[in-house]
Order: sequence, then C-alpha cells, then structure tokens
Amino acid sequence: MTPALAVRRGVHVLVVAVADGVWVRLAVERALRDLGWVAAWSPADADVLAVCGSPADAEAAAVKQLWQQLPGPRARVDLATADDVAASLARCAAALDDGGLQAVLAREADDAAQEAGRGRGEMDHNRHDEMEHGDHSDMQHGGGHDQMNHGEMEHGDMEMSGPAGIPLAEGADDDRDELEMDAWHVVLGPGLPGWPAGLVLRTTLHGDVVTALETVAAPASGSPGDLGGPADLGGPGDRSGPDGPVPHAALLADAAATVLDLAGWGVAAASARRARDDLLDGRAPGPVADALERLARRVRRSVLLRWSLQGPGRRRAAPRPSAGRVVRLRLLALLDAAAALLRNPAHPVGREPAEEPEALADLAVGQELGTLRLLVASLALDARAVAHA
Amino acid sequence: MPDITQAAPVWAALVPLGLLALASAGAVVAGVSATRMRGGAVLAGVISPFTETSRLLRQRRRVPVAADRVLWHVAIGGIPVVAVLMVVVVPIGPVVLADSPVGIVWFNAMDVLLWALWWLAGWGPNSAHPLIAGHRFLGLALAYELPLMFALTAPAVAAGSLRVADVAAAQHGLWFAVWMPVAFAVYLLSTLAFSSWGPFAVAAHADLAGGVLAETSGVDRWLMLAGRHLVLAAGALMAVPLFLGGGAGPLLGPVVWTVLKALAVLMFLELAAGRLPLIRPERFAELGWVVLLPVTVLQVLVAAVVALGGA
Amino acid sequence: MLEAIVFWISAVVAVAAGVTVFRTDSMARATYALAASFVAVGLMLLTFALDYLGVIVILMMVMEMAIMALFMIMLMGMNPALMPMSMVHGKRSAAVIAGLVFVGLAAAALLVPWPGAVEAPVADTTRSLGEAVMGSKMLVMLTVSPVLFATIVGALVLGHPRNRYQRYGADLAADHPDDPIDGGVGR
Repeated sequence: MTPALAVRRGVHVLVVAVADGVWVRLAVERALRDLGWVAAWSPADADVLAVCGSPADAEAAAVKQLWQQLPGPRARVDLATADDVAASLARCAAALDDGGLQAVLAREADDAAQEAGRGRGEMDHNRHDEMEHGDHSDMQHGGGHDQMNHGEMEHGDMEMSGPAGIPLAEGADDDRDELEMDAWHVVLGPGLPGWPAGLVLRTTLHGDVVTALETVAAPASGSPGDLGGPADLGGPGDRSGPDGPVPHAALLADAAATVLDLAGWGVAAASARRARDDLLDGRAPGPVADALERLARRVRRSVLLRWSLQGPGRRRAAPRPSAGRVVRLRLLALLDAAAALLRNPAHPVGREPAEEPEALADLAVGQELGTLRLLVASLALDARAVAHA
Repeated sequence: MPDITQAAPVWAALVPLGLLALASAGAVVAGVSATRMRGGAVLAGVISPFTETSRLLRQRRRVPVAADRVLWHVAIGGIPVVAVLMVVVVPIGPVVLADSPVGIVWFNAMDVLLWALWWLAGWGPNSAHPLIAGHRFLGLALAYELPLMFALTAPAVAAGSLRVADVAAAQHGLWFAVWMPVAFAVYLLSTLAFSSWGPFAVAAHADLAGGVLAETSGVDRWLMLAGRHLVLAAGALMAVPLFLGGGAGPLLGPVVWTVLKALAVLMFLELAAGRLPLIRPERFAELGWVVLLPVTVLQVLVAAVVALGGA
Repeated sequence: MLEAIVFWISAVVAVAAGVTVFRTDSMARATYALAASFVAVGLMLLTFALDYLGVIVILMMVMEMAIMALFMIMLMGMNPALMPMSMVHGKRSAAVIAGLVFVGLAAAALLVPWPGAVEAPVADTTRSLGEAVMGSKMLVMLTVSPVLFATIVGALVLGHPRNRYQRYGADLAADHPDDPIDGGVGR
C-alpha cells in the first residue's frame, strides 16, 4: 500500500465500471479508502477518471465523453485488471501536479469544445451524453397555444429544433396525472456512479416521473426486466473471477452499500463497505458476519428508512407492493444473504417464499427518477454478473 | 427594551467574515464526520474543507451546452449572499448590524429567497439531474415553509414583538426552546431543508448524481458547497436569539455565549448528514401539511395563551 | 437622502425589470425579471418606513414567482436558452389600453389634491397596521381569508383527475388510498 502521506490528499475520482470491471472497481474503491481519496458522484466533481475493466467500442465512446466532461486538472487511468491499482492511482496524482501535461490536456479540451461548438454554431463547453441526455431542452411545451387567437399571434422565427441544435421535447398523452407533459429521454448509462456495470437504460420521463424503460445494453447476467427479486442471487460456485462464498458475500455487501448510499444513510453504507473491504482483505468471516448481522438489524429497525421508502404501514397488505417496499425488502435480503453465506458457505441463497419477483419496468413506471435509481441498485446486478458469468 | 445599538456600517464587513468563520467550523465538523465514515483519520477530516477548497479553486469551471448562465450564476452566487443577509438582523452581544423592527419576517423573507435560488441552480445548467433536483426542492419547500412560518411566529407572539432583540430579551431565563419544542424542532428541520443538508438534502443528493451540484465545478462548486454551510450557520445563529435565549448566560458575556450556542446548534445540524436516511419529498409533503402545520398552529396558540395570560 | 436615492434606483429597476419580462425570450428569465421588479417595489416600501409591508412583499412575491416559474414554463414553455419568440399578442389594442391607463394613472398621481402630511408617521408602523387590520377591518379579514382558502382547496379538489372514489374504491371502503406514489401519512 502506498503510504497515504506521500500522495496528494482529497482527490476526487470518478470510478467508471464497464461490463467486466466489477472486481477492478472494488479494488479501486479499496485503494481510494487507503489513500483518503473520495469517489465522485459526477464528472464535474472529479479530478481523475478511473476506468475499471476493458471497455468495448460503445462503452469506449461513452468513456471518452466522460473524459471530456472532466474539468481540468484531470488525469485518466485505465485499469483492465486489479493489479497494481495503488501505484496507478499514485501516478495519476503525479499527473495532476504536472503543469505541462495539464496545459496540453486543457488545450485538448478547448479544441474539443470548439469543434463541438462549431458543429452547432455556438461556442460552448462540453456536451452531455451518457449521463444526462441531450433531449432535455424543456419539459412542457405547446399545450397552451391551441386556445390562442392565431390571427394575432406572431411566432417570429420560432424553430422546432431548439437552440444549440437540441430538439425540443414532444408532448405525450398518457400522463400519469393527466397533465399532458412533454416526454423527454434520459439515458442512464455506462458511467454513472452507483449504477451497475454494463447496464444502459433509456428512460422516458414526464417531468421526473418514469413512464417507460428501455434496456439499451445489459450486463452479462441478463436484462433487468427478466430478473426477479432478491430470490435470484445465484449460488456459490458458478462464477468467473474469485470463487467462493466470501467474494460473493463481498459483492452482496457492496450492493447493499450502494443502496444505502443512494438512500442517504451514509453511516450504514460505510459499515457495509467496511465489511466488504474486510472480506476482500481476507479477514476472518465470523466477525464480518457479525457486523453484517448487526447492520441488518439496524436497517430493519430503522423507522425513518422504512417510512421514507415505503410510507406508513398498512393494516392489510396492498395488492401490489410499492417500489419503496421492494427496495427495502431487497436491501434487507442482501444483508441477510451476505451474513448467511459467511456463516454457512453452502447456504443456498435461494428464493424467499413470500417474495414475488417483480419486473423492473412494472415497479418503476409511475415512480420518480430517484426511486428508479434505488430500484436498479437494489437488484444487485453486479453481484449476479459475477455469479452467472 | 433592551439596549441594543445598531452598529455603524463600517462594521458590515465583519458580519460575512464572522459567518464564514462559523461556517468553516461547521464544515470542519462535517468534514470529520464524512472522513470518519470513509475510514480516514480525524486529522484528515479536520483539514478536509481546506484541501477541498484548494482543489476546487484550482479546478476549471465548466458550462454545459445552452446553459442559462445568468440565472445559473445568480443562483450560485446568491446562496452565500442570502446567508449573509439572513444574519444581519441577529444581535451579537450589544450590537446588531440592522436593528429592524421586523427582523423575524426579514429572516423568513431571506429563507424564501432560497426557494428561487435552489430552483435556479437546477434550471441553469440545462441538464437532467439538476433540473429534477431543483423541482424536488420546490416540492419539499412547499411542505416545510408554512410550518416554518408559524414556527417563526411563535416566539414573536410570545415576546410580543417582531424585533429579534426583543425576542431574545423576552426569554427571562426560560428559553423558548424549552416550552415551545415543536416550534424549535420545526425550525431546525426547516434549516436543514433550506440548506439542502442531511435528511432533507433533496436538491443535492447522490440519487440524482449530486443534484444541482452535478454540473458545477471549480469556483461555482465551491460557492455552492460553501453556501450550504453558510446557510446552515446562518440558521444556527438565528436560532440563538429566537429559541435559546440570545446572549444570556453567566460569566462569559453575550458575544461568547451567542457564539457558543450557535456552535452547538451548528454541530448538531452538520452531524445530521449521513446519519439519517434521506426523507423523500413525496412522504414529507403529506406530513408537512397534515401533521406539522396543525401542530405548529397549536403551538402558536399555546404561545399566545401564555403571552396573554402572563402579560 | 439615502432613502430618496434608494427609492429612485428601485423605481427604475422595477420598471426596467417589468419591461424585461416581455422582452426576454426565456420563460424562466421572464419570471425572475418579474420577481426582481417586485423586490424593487418591496425596497421602495422599505424606504417609506413601511417595514412590515416591504418585507412581506419581498417574501410573498419571491415565493410566488418561484412557483409561477413552474407554471409559466409548463404553459408557455420555451427552453432555457434564448429562443426567439414574440410573446406579445394583440399589440395594437394592448398599446392603446396601456397608453390610456398610463395617462390616467399619471394624471391621478399628479392632479389629485393629496392631503399633506399633518402629523409625523407613527413610530411603530407594524403595530398600527395590525391594529387597523384587526380592529376596524376585522370582519373583512375573517370573511375573506376562509373564502380564499376554500377557493384554493376547492379548485384543487375539483381539478384533480383522481377523485376520492378512484382512491378509496366505489364505496369509499378501502382503508388505504390507492395512489401511484404513497404519501407519508396514509391520507
């Protein structure tokens, strides 16, 4: 491990995991913890872009977009395997301090921006793509015009294609609240932190309400629409990469940590991450299982988390489970499964009888975008990706 | 009438600096908390606001395509300004910068300006996640604002005046926080909400890739992050004369007591981040209107009855 | 003297911002130009030593503009960058009416024999405002406020596409409303 004091402090790293980069991502996050660096939530926040895994062509284009969105000073490291992560990150820190290199990168960024600007006839900096799609010019438009007196109205030179070449959103009729809001598309794509590796979803939003989901790219374990609830967590022994219950439990703990982070409970997420790191470091599984069980108890008992995710309790169960309830149950199942795997390596992480598998689209449609993020995180696709590969 | 004198405008520069110092203390507390959660050392946490500042000031700014720069920069620069405006009516010891007869209403007006600023911060960058985050903030704001208004009215009713110094003086050894706990709780909760911090951080939360912070970098990001801490510090400082007896206290003098009490409230607020899960706005909307609003109105009634009975 | 300067600057800002509402191309900018205009009016009230009214004007107007921005974008929607679109309709009739109203108001302001200041203003304008409202105008306040509130609530209830039968079932017997997203209290 590189001594933390020798390297620059407080660097923000955007950790991008492409399809086969799950284990590399875990190694990078471990290294970040040692160095005292921070994982960024968006490219604007990041100094370093850490690409985990070997991106295929489509993903490579997306990663290039993300690279262009990092403001300077910036550095990039491509890690195909988990070897020598700490040294690579230390080299990044050195690159950040290298004035000449940063000047070159800054010129590159300005040239790229100018080219993009020339393509639109406008000087501007980076265009968004994979993380925030371009079609988001406006939310609601056009509905009010029909009632006006057209004879007196002047449209001037209103063009249907909006400024900077971004087309305006079109209206849609099947709105949840009958508001005739415009439908716009947000691609939740390869480089989003807290998002499963290899998954690209194209969402259609009315405002912030999800109305349609389309899987553009799926991780190796299959499209999220086919996957069920906490049931299908796979058994030990059918995976590539590190084998055995301990790595599998580490992935389950990692998934739980992501859900807890997205739900805003940083302390609990930190506990889950510590458990994950302890498992990957090779510590004895017994105490880690204790810690995970304690965490599961804490999460189960948390009234605030329960109320925030699923609202007040009901006397009789609802006909269909709400998205928030599903997220909470899956989260608890992840923690319980991780602890159970550590206690009993032959534990079949199997189907819980009470839980019905729900397709992602059924649950997510009609919910807001933040809830969709929670739902996708709760599917723990990274854990399955390795289990099924 | 307590003898509070209005400070000469020459002292006006001290107010932002003092607030910045208080906010830095808060940022240090938050930094230590966040760093400990990430498994780092306490010392690293203590210096983390300053390392983050130096990192951000060295970073380049970026502007997304077709962003509304005017509105965006108004929002980014406006949040710290509003924080300073919030505290110009707070008496520090025997002086206050603006001895307004309607100081409480002024504070309320300044926190309403944050409605506009957070939404503009979401609208400005022309990007999906900030836009949704800005609108979510307005959804939350509609739920907490009326309870906050009544929570601010309760001390005014009990003291019989809208002037902050009068409210501080009317606490006669029994703080309003003790016998008006609902108003105090709603006030603290609303401070977290209009700073977008902790369990109410809907405008700047991870589940929307950082919300309104998603596209900011460099100085802009620093101004927004510092702005959040400044607003938290302003809310904490205002809680002192409103609910915690102002500068009253033995031995140490009003200035020191004000600062100590503000620090205590600020630490409590800053530590809320990460320890409580995010309260989703759709849950809070019903809670705010159906539960909090009647309860705070009843609180004002209690305060009025006590004030009329005692007077 | 300072108050006079502030007054005149605020007056100019208020008018200029008001004009900007119609000259700008973006709905968000139009809304916040209007907000700036109202804030300037609030500042003018502050210079008249009408503290409470001035601050309340700023408070209410900014809050309203924040919400109005959502509606303006929804109903008129153009995107945040500058899209050239003329937002004035019926130009000739509007110009005539506006001109007439301006002439009328200016004439009233200049020609009406306003009463001179016979006494110094009250020291505590807030208290005197409160006494005026709650004293002689108490009946008006007591009737107007609930009517306003009932109107707002009634409009929302009537306008909402999902009524209580859809939420609670045909015989209103369900113990929990059937909403796409659950509220926090179960109402």
